[in-house]
Amino acid sequence: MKNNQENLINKVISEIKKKYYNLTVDFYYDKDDDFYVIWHNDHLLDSDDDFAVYVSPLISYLYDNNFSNFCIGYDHEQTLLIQKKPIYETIDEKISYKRESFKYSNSLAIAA
Amino acid sequence: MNQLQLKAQDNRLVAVYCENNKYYDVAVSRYYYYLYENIISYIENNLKKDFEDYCNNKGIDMPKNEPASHKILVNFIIENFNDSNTKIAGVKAKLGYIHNLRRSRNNADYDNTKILYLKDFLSFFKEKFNVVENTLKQLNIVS
Repeated sequence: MKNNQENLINKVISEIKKKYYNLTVDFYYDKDDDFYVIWHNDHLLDSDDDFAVYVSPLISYLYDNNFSNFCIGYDHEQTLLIQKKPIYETIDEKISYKRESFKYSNSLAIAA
Repeated sequence: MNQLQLKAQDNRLVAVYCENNKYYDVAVSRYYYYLYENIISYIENNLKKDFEDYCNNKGIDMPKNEPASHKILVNFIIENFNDSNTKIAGVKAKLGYIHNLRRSRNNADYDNTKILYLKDFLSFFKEKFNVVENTLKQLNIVS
């Protein structure tokens, strides 16, 4: 079941890349939410009608294949991760997600 | 306007207050419930039978008098509308952002993280929210 769903997602990603070939598009599975997040790295596309028109039939394709636990959209956190920005830079840029630094402080506490 | 729509309206007022005062996580939560309560109200008043049929067809067994899960209601809305029956270009993709907003709401309420800056609030939530709100207004789901 999971492999089948991931195959469907990969087909959708391939279709998106055919038109938006410079776009980074990927996905991850959130076990806690039982949900697939198909994400890209261009926030302007979230409010782009052409992109919505292009993606809508792909969403229908997934629903037609009895697959509905997914979403598609820009993901700020994943975008920062692929840019491989060091933590100190993200803090300098006032990015508010502190998950990584929280993990780091936890590991320091354990080490101590 | 029914009581649920009034509560939705209250949530939006609180959301705007929170946004303006930089309580961004609370704003995310209230904005989301503003949309979600309007969706519940719309389905209850306009698509109740369709929703029951949808659940039956999908084999979804929902206990009576228990609120449907957010995912089921949102999927129903996404599957119910398309470009030809709404004349809204890319309507499924736009409505699909409700799932992204739902996940942002979960993070805002429960994650050990906090949105501190407007730039992040816009990127994480508000840009998609604006698209969804406009789409739901065009569909008369939000007044």
